[in-house]
Amino acid sequence: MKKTDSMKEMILIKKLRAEDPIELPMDEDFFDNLHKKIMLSVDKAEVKPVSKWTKTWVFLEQKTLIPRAKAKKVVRLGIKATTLAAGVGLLNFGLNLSKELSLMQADLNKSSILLEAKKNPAQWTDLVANYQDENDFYADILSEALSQELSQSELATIVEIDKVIAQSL
Amino acid sequence: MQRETDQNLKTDIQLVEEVRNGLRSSFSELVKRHQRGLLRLSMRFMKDADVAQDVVQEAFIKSYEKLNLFEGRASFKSWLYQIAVNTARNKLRENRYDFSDIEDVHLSVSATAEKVLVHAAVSEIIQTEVDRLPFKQKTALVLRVYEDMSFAEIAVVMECPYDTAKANYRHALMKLKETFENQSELRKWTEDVGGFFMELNTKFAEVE
Repeated sequence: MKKTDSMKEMILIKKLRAEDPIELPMDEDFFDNLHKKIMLSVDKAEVKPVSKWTKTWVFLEQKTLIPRAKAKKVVRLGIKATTLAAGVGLLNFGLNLSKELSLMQADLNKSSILLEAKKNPAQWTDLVANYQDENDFYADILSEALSQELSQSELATIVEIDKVIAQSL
Repeated sequence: MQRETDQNLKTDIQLVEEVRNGLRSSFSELVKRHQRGLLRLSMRFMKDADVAQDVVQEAFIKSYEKLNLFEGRASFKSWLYQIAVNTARNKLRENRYDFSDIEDVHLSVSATAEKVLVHAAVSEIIQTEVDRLPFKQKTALVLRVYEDMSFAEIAVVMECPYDTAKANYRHALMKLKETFENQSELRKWTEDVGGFFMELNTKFAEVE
């Protein structure tokens, strides 16, 4: 494939050369005149002496040409890496945030259900017994909460309520 | 006559040394050697013969004035072309020349034979596509394809690292390759040209 590409490239170069639109004047006089014109201007010009500073500047400029290009590459690479890291970080932050929010929401729902259940435990116990389903999230929470937390902390209240009901009967 | 023959035998570096030592006539020989190439290069950027001549003249004057800055690490030709390319670029920036008139393109073409017209149209398309390239890519392409320079020389002319010169050339070539593959006129021209190109194209199609 690479060989094919280089052959295509060769054809393209041949095409470009074959279709070269630049036509130089073939006339020798034309170039004699151009030469005269240039030399007339050159006669008025002077070779400028080079100061020590100019030489140093040129030397430094040549010396820094390749390191400058390398530095540019490094900077570009650094920017790309930083952008990538920031992107990954933001994505991670977003995921964590949504996870925390959903946990908070679940806690909130759980506590509000528990609150309701505490108000009328008998009714909620029946409700759970009747409607509990494997896919029912809130029912799961309720059954768990009622069997553990509620039975321990609110046991006294439930007993009291039962007593009142028995007396009234 | 003898003196002229002696001058012809000298290298560019020797002539530069002579100019530095005060022999102005040696610069005349340098002008004779490089004026054609420099004019051809300038015409690729400026499109107008008169403006291109101005660029050549300016480049030679600048090179004469700055001759003491030439250290001989690269060839005199590369150094001179570097000055010419910079001069052309500055002129384009200053005046925003646009000579890509259809009439100008057709000036050198006789409008009699149909074949010539097709040739001119293709030539025009290619020229337009080359002109549309960014300056650096165009410079790399022009120096490589038309001036047959090595990438090391192109890097000197463009004042950039070797790899950058090569990358600019490759980008230019890739863009042109796409144009050649997409434009129907150019495809037709390839068929018209036939011979060597067609044979190779068929081989590529078979390979691919």
